[in-house]
Amino acid sequence: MSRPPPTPSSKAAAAGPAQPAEAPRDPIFGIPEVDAMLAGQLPKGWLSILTGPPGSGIEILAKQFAQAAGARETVTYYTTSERTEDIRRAMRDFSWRDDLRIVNLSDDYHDTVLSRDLEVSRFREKGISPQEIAQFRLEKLEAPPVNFVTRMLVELAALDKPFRLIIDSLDFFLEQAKPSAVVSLVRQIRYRAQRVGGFALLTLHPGIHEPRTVGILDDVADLLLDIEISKEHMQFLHHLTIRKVRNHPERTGSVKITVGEKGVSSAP
Amino acid sequence: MLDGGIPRGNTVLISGSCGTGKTTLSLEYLVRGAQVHERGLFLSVTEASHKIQQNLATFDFFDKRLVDDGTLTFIDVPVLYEKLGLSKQEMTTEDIDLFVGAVARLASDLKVQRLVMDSITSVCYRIRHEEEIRDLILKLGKSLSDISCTTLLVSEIGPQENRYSLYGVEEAIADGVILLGNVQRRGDLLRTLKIIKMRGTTHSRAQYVLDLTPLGVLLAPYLKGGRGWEAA
Repeated sequence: MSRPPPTPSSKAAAAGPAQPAEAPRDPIFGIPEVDAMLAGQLPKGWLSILTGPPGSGIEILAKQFAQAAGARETVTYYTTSERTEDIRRAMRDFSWRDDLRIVNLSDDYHDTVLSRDLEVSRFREKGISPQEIAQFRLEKLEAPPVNFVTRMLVELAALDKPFRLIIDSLDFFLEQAKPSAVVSLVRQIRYRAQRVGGFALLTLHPGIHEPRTVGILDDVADLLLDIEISKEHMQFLHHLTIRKVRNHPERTGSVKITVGEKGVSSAP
Repeated sequence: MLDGGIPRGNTVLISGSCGTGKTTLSLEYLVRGAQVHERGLFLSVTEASHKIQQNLATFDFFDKRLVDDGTLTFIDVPVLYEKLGLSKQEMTTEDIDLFVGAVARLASDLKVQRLVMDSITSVCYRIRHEEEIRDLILKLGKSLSDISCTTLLVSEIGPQENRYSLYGVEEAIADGVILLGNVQRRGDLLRTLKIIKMRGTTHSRAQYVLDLTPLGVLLAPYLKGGRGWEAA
């Protein structure tokens, strides 16, 4: 993988002649240079993992991946960190579709875990009065904590048509469940994608998880993408690196990217 | 038997194996108090408190108005556990302090003079060390005694147990121990009651037969059942 990054324009040109003969293709990320590096189309059932530090634009690229879906694909965006309305607003700001299905796991997490913790802290600190305790019913306590992995698996089982599934981010699952359960979930997502013809993109922050887990996840993924930030002449430069393309090591490479009005595009 | 009753502010262990009438005896203690305007609090650990109230309704001595007007209060301890974040299997020293504090706060806010914890054994299940159980009962007893609240702690023991509490420490700290048991006599199972200790009283040490009737708990001298009934 130490080969020099391919020139995006030449790659795009190389992929060009084959295009007219084939059925119209949906963009992969909607970045022509990057899509061209990937030969214009992802094989059905591919699972991608996108890593990048905070501020690198991985969330925007994840949304752009959702935006680039074709009409035949049902798009579901699972978020663990943003508010639903913020995602829709961001999509509108880039003049993208804002009709995608958004499943907000952070709301569930808030309702089932964080709000409970908050209440507990208040009662532990301030005590609990007879009036307060009278409001709570014993029967209502039995609700078990939400298992987010199980919840995702149920969602997956319901996908029976070509789909594009985005999870932003996998970090949340790795925080909530055992790494082995998360790896198994990722395998299930890939299997489902292969069965019904779907694509999945999962985001992951680099450097915060066990190398062993990350290694296995890298192994399961068909496509690995990193966004790196470097500083040059008082300016931040973003590079999108295609680190792994299953069975096509020659398609790996790096592109300088920028975030503008139309989302992520290659930088001049 | 008790030479006038349980001294106010005392902590008394009601020990016995299952089906000996511990819960009924404790409930009647609360209701009888409520009838003379002593406010009572029943802390239910193992059974849902609404079920206990349903069962209580079958006794003639119980009047639901005592609950409605707030003279008697039933609280499910699992709710307290959950809301205080004590849902884990094991209670730490901090958790025990929080739990005792919460119970004392409830007793003082409700201005109760009689409190029943059914059962203390279930609470102790969550505590690893004997010293901490001792700590719990001492602190609970002290904080309730400070507000002149008399406390009955229901203690579950096995039928053949030769001590009065599961962990052995509860009985040593409590101000009194009332032991309930089952005795086979001519093929029948009789409930029995003995007062093992009661600080501050010159109590009877005789064994009595305990009968659960719709009127409440009735006691008769052992082996002389049928004559000389007296109310608890």
